[in-house]
Amino acid sequence: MKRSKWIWLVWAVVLLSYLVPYTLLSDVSRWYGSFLFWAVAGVAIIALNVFITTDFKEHSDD
Amino acid sequence: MTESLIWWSIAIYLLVAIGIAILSRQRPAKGGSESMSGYFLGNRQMNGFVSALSYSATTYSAFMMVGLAGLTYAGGVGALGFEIIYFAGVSLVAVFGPKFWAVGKKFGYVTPSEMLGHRYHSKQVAMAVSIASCIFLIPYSAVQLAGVGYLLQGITDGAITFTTGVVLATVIAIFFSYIAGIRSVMWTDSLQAIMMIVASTLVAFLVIQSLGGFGALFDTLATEHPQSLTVPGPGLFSFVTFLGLTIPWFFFSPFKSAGQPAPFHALVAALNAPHADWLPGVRFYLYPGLRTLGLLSLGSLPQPCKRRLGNAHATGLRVCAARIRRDCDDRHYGRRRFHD
Repeated sequence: MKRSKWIWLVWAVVLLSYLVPYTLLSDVSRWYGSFLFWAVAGVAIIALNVFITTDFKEHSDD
Repeated sequence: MTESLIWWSIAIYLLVAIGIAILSRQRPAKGGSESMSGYFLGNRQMNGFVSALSYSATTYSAFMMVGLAGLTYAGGVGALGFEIIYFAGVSLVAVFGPKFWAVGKKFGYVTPSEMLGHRYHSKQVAMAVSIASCIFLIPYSAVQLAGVGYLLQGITDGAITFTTGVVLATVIAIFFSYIAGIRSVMWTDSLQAIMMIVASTLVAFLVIQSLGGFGALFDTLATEHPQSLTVPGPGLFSFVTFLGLTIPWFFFSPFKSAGQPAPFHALVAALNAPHADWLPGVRFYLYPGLRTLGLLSLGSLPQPCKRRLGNAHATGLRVCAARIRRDCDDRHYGRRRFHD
């Protein structure tokens, strides 16, 4: 997948990071609520960045 | 913590950092470090790993140590969300970073103003960027130096004064910049980044252990401070406030690379930096996560103090928030107050 495609997934994760904690998880005052959601979102962002930068060298002149 | 222990810690850290700075100066490089490109960009041949650590150390400064710590304390888990969205913005560096690096190498840019001036074929643009950088980096730098002063004063209960801390930080910053330019800055940044992640990991681990472990911590929070685990939680992180904080910071990460000299230099100094994006991301992620865990456990401040902290942050007075917090501690727990 091209870098431009992966970045859309980053946008999706960011959007969910706004929506989910303020709606579905706003009453879940446990560790598996917003804390876990944002923690997993962070892992997802890192994973996406790994994919985005896999071909960093080859495309360094983009 | 005693004053002598703090001074010894600073001395040992400085010795190690100075050693690293001198070693970085002695590193062989094509063209030497006497040229502008050598001094500011390490001849564009800095190691990708070092570049990544330096970029993250540059990003997390007194703002993180003082401001966001208080924000977590006052607003609960919402601060973690703020930081996660903030560091998600670093992903945009993966889009813009290679372009910065490529044009920087092709046209020989040393500063961001050169790049922007050339891009828009306008000397006025370059001048405007230079002047704006000079003007706005003054308060930016002042806040960082003030943060060091406040932290040293705070952890020593005033034995090391604010002024001493600021002067010390200023001298160190000038020395590290002088000795080998970007090389010494980036290598000492890397030392700082590693120390910060190790220290924050240890602090979070020790605090959580002392509270009975991860499960006991969250059980206590769920029963005694349930709002700290949700948003808007105690009220600081209303959705509008959350938007107001996160949107600028999301774009701050990548675009500071174009407009702010230190991250720009860290970015374009890397010859080939496949880790320059996701490695800082790992640290961005680990550090706020660990710190949030640690700070969530400190939910025992009286409500008036929390309210004052929230008000301070809402108006952007992050450094002041640290002082308010200290004053609240003093008033409610009878600690010794000291004169600044």
